[in-house]
Amino acid sequence: MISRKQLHKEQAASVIIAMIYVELFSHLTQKYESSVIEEKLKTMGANIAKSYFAIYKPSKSSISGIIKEIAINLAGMKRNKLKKTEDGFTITTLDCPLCQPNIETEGPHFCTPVMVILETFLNLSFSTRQFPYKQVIGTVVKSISSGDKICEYHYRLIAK
Amino acid sequence: MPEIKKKKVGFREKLLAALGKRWMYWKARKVTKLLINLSYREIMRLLVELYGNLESALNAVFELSLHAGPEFLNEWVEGANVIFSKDVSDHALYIKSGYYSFTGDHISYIKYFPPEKVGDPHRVVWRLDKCFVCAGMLDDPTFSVKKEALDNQGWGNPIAGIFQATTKMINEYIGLEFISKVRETKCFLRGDPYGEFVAEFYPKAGTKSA
Repeated sequence: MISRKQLHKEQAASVIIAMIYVELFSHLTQKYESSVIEEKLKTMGANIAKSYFAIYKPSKSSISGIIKEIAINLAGMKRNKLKKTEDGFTITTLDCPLCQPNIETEGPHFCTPVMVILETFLNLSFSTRQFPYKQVIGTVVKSISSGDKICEYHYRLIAK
Repeated sequence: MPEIKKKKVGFREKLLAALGKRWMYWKARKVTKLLINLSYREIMRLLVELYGNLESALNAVFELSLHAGPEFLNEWVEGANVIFSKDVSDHALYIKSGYYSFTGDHISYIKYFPPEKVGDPHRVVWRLDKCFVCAGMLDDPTFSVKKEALDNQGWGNPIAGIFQATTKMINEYIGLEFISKVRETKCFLRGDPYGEFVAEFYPKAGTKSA
C-alpha cells in the first residue's frame, strides 16, 4: 500500500474532497447549531494539520514563508496575497480548495478547516522552532462560499 | 446537448481520451493527496459521530458522493462527450479516463465483462494497486478501522459513489437505457491485496436492451 509520506508528493483534484465536504456541511447544518458546527470544523482542520505535520514539516523558517509554503504546496492556493496588519497578518486567496463559486452556504464560514490548517501549522512550528511568538489565532473574515469574492483569513500573533 | 451517434469508440476517441485526461488533470485545481486522505478521514470521523457507527457512515459517504455528482461532475461529462459512444462496454474507457482526470493515476487493470446469461448486468471491473484514501489508515493512531467494523463496506465508498454518479450522468447524456450501480468489492483495509470496484449496468425495464 502507498505510504502517507508518498501521498504528500502526489496531487489530485481538490474537487474530490470539495464535493463530499459540501454535502457533509449540509448534513451538519441540519443537525447542529452554527457554533457547534464551527467548533467541529475547527477540530477537523486541527486534526488534519497535526497528522500532516507529523509527516511533513515546512522547510521555510519565516512566518510568511511557512504560510505560503503550506497554502501553495499543500492546499493549491496559488493566487494568494499576504498583508501585514497591526496585530499579525491576513492572507487572501481566490483558490480556496473547499469553496466553490457556484455554491453558497449559510451558517459558519465554509472554509474554516482551511484557515485552521494554516493556523495549526504555524502553532506547531512555533512550538518546535525559535520564534518570537507563542501562538497565532486565526479567524475567517471572508469566504467565497459565503458570497464573498475572495477568501480572507486574519491571523493574530501573540508574542512570547 | 449534441446527439451521440458513434456506435463504438475507435482509435480517434482513444487518442482523444489519452490526451484529454492529461489536459483535464493538468488544468484541475489540485491539492496533495495526503491532504485529501486526511480530510476524508476527518469527514468520516464526523459521519461516524452523526450516524453512530462506521458501517452507517460509509453508507452515508457513498450517498453524499452520489448526491454531489451532478453539481460537480457535469463539467467533466460535458468535456468528455467527444469520446462517448452508444456501446455500454465503452464505459471502461470513460472510467479509466475519469480516474486519471481527477487523480493523475493510471488504472492498471480494467476489464469489461458482457452478461453471461439473460438478466445479468454488463460489468466493468477495475483494480487499484495504490489507494490514496486507504493509505495510512491501518496504523492511524487517531482513527481505528477494524476489518469487522467495515462489514461489507469499503473505505473507498466515495470513489464508488462518484463513479456511480458519473456513469449515470454519462448514460443520460448519451441516451443509454441502463441503470448503473458501482460498489467497492475489494479493499486494502479488509486485507485484500488491491482495491477493486465493479460497475454494473442493468438495462432499464421495457427497453430494447432488457
